[in-house]
Amino acid sequence: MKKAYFILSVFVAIAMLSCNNTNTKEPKTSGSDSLNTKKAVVYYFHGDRRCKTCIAVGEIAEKSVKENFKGNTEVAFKEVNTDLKENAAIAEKFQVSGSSLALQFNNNGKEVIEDITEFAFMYALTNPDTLKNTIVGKIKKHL
Amino acid sequence: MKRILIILIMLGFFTSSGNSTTEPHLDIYYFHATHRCPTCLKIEANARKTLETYFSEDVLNQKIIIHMLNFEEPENATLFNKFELYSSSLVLNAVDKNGKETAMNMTDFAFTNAYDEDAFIKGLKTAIDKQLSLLN
Repeated sequence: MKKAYFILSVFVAIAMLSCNNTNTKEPKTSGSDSLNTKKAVVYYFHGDRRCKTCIAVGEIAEKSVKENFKGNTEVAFKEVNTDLKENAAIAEKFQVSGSSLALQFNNNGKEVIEDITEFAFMYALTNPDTLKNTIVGKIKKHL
Repeated sequence: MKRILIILIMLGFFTSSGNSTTEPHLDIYYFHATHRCPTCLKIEANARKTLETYFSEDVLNQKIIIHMLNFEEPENATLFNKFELYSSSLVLNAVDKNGKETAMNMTDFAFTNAYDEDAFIKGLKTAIDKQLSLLN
């Protein structure tokens, strides 16, 4: 009998953990309305399988935001997997189909999107500081 | 004549989607995704330029066979997995007269040097020469 209770407890525990995992999933990117009110958002788009340069672009972009605008709620970094169906709307909005880096600025209610993909991929591996400084400089201009 | 060869390489005339020869040869595989990033396109352009500049005769004679393949297409999965790849990759696979294959993975080199055209072409030429020497 004790054994049966033990097995039942294990099943209940696994079921609870599974539910918990579902609830802690990231919110869908397409529902990122709150990001539209921020003054600057760095959007990093990528597919399921990323090349070396693509990974570097994402890391540098995220680092640029986190290191230079820590605590600033007007600036955000957002990673978007374009291979997920739930992100189709935002990918369409930015007109991207694969790996891309775009900056979205909110200039007194007017939304401005700047695509720096070519630049980002050119410098991500060869001169990461140039990319980082460019991202930071562009954001500072809009704050 | 050389100009015609260059144009044919640029147009991908010698690009094959399968291995159709049993003669000693070098397969140059470039695997890419459906949606390609600027670096991926740059690597292909640099690789084609290397072949146009130094190996146009080998391409014409099918000593070198170029394969530009989308790794997201199911028909390319077996080949992609054979080389134990994960994402966009450049592989030089030498096949000698006994059918023995020797693969050289140039992916890391390619992505690191994609925007330094001279270094890319020089490095890839050296690698191709090394792989071609295995055919003799």
